[in-house]
Amino acid sequence: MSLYKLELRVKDTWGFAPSVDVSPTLTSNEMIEHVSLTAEIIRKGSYLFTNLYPSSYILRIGYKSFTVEKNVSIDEDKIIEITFPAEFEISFNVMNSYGMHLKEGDISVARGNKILQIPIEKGNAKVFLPPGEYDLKIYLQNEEVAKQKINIHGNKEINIVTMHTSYFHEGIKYLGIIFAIFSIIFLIWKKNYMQG
Amino acid sequence: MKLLSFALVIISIVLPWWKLKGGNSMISTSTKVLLIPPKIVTLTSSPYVVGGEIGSVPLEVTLVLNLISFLLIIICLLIVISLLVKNKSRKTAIASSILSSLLLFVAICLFFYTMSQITKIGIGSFTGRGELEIALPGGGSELLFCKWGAGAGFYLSIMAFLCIISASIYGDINMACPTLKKFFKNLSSLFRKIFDRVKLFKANKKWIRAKLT
Repeated sequence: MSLYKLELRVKDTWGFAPSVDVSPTLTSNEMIEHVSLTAEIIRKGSYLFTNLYPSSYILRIGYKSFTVEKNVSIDEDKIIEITFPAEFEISFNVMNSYGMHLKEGDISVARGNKILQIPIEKGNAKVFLPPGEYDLKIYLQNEEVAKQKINIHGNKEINIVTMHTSYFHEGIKYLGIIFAIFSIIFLIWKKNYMQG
Repeated sequence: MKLLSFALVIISIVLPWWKLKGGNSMISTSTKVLLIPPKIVTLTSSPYVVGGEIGSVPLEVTLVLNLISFLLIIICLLIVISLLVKNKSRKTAIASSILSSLLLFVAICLFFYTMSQITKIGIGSFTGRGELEIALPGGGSELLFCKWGAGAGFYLSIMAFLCIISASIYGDINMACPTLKKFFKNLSSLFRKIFDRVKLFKANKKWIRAKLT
């Protein structure tokens, strides 16, 4: 009896090889004793099952609460492509350099050559991303005010403090300085007036 | 003088009361303790990371920072009251001045004590310098040479305290108590006399030296 190979190519929703191990397994109802066959990793996102008897199998891949099952019939060497739908909710709290919410702006999330733009509303933004490492940049009026790398392995809340200053703090500060100058001038004038 | 102390307190509310600065040729970092909002903010800049994060502090520290900002607002109100009632009710003006200076002293001491306690655990002392391991936003850390100590807000509050004290002494109390007014007048005339004598002595010395040569 001839034995066959099954090559599994997994992609995430962004079209990249998943950055997490999806642990693919094969089982079959035709097995006398139920065992899970595991694959050998040939490159990132590609797995190889070897020495498979011709039969119908259940292919299972998973990461955390996400699982994908697919019936596969093996009667020759095969290559299967699967899109792994795991996406996690990422909440961003974007703040200015004084830790107050940034009212507007855009978040750019990039991985490889793919870029996703998310608008910031009242300091918050939400996005669903497949697991992986992303380059995060925050723009305010086309000016880059923050950048960092983020690793996504599950739902996450990320607080980001940008370099953008606070108009409230700056306003109070300059108002105070003007008031201080005015009071010094008044003090000098009062002293001269009293002496005169 | 009270107007000046009012302005200084207003500025000090929005400026950092404690700061840490450090860096090398590639990375620069700064941490500041703010009263409004009551947070410890760290900003880091490197070729790969621009931005920062909010420091996680115990709830007690946030409460203290809130209390200090509340005290500073009360102090501002008291200064305004003392300025408004200066001619109508001198006693109220004096009471407001004394209370505002006392509250400012309490706020300064409270901040110094709280920050001393926090820095004792983390970096050793309220002021200092040395190499510290600084966490970078997004992961990783770097050993950087840092300097830390009181921020502009803290110094301005001390200046405001001195201004209120001197305004209280030379203004309100001086006016309200004739004996004290007389005392300060005598004291200032005494200082003026001493200053004049010194001036005269220097002039004489110069004249004698000129004559001798």
